Amino acid sequence: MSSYSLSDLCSVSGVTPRTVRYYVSQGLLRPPTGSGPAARYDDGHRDRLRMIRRLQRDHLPLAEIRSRLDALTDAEVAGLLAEPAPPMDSAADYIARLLAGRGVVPAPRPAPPPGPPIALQRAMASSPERLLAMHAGVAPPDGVPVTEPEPPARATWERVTLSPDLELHIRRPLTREDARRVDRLIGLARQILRGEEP
Amino acid sequence: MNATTDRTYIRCNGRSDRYILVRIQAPASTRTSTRDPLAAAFVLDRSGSMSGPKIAHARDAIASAIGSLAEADRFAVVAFDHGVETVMPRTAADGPGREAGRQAVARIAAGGNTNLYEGWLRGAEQLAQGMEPGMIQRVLLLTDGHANVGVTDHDELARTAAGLRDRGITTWALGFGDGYDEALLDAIVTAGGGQALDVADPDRIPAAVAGAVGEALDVVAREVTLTAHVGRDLVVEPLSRFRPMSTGERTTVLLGELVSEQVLEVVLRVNFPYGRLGERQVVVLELASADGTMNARIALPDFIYADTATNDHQVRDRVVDRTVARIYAARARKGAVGTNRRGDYRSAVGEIERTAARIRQYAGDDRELNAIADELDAERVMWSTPRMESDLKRAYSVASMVEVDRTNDGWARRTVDPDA
Repeated sequence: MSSYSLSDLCSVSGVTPRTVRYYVSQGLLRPPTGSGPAARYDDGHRDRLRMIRRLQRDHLPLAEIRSRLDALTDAEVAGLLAEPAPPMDSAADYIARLLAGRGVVPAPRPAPPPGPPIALQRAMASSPERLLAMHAGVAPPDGVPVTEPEPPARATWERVTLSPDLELHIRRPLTREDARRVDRLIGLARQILRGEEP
Repeated sequence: MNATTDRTYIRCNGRSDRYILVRIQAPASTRTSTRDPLAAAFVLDRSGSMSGPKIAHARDAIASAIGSLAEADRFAVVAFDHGVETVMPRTAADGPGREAGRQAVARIAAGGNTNLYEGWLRGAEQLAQGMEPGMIQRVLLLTDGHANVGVTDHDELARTAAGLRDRGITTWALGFGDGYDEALLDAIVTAGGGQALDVADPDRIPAAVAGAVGEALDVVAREVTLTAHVGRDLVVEPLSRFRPMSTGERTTVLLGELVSEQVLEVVLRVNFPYGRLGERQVVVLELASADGTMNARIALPDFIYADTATNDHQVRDRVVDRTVARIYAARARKGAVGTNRRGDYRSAVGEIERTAARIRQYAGDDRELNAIADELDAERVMWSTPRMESDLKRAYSVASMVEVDRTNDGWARRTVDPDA
């Protein structure tokens, strides 16, 4: 087990002292032993900092990262770091997710070709994790769960005209519950657009 | 690939930084080989500030770039202000496609705000929806403004760029005039695997767009990576401005695409832990590319833990020192651009002076190293007074290109100048 000063920890982890203090204050890292210049950090701190970086790459908010890290022992964090990261979603899914996060409807997708989507093959072939794995002589394992649930393979986009100037795009299939909510939304939206009080 | 290091002895009783200069030479494209097809998304800022010669030149530039594509290539055009319009969805660059593209581009007019984020994503989306293996997927973002609608946070935009790059889509940016946000474009392209070109004069827009597309058509190695394998507790980071991916004992630097006969020098900084006298540390470098064009592996001479006297009196490799000094000088200038613009002249000059002093510490009697420090010192007056925005942009851009070993205008350096 190595012992690090704050500056050593920062140099092995590629973060600033301010970041370390912030993570400690936010409960993402446990406090060091000792305080001030005598503060010492260990491999657990180092691994958790690396894990935070990896999770941030998946665009997870700090609160979510904290709750995931809370559930893991230092040994489990080290074990996860040793494994290659799960395969990535395709570029099209990634962009759709970002646009949806802004409340923007992604453009309708062309029908997927038979067999594994080319976009996914391509994305996997080019992912840095894949490249890293190639150097290590191991490919990322298949079937590793990804953080974001994949949209259903045969999703289709339905366009609903709410008014001559407004359309709603819906990706089907939806769960029965969501379908009911969407129906209600369409009803309400049409009422509002007609100038009626819902 | 070959590599040299500034020094080979390291301290026993402290952490040491050593620098490795890696020289990479890309092969020449041969006439018989067919190039990889390109899918280019032109994403054009048409906010109000683009009106006049900027939008006119940008339209001409895109139309002419579309004209330079071949049948196997694909292109899309997206224009954004506060909203986003897909002017031309992803289209094959055959005769009718190119003609339709030119007509669509001619209709783009300027007015409105700058929703750079969504415009950029819409361009990337056009590429993502028809991705084919073996195709170069590149977004060319043409803008003169700050992102002021939608996502405007630099870190988030950089994370998005990295996410796209990880999925095979690279982003280049062209900044027009003196109102664009150079630090934002720099963050996007560094994470996005591209370059940011400073285009001060609207007359230069067509040449810049043509150059950016031309490089894409001249790529000979794709997704080039430089991986350093090191012992436990060593930390490898690129000093050059490339994105690293680190997993403990392996650091991979993503160099992106190399064009025909490109020469590229990359500096890595290795941080060594404490060690026992006489102990050795091994660093192995590996060059690879997704298409298999680049493939090399070398082991550097061992780094050896030495006593203080041996460490302090060792011979330095001056070529490595000079390259390292130039990059630190470039970083100082980029920092000074921001502080000078804010009117914080004391910090701007301070950063320049500190960097010059640090270079002098190891310059000894090396004429070139002293010249690098002298040049910084000579700039003190300049950084301590208000500078024109166009000068600041140019200074930032030139410094930024030093960090990725490109020409001042942002083009790849080559063994043979294609224009000669």
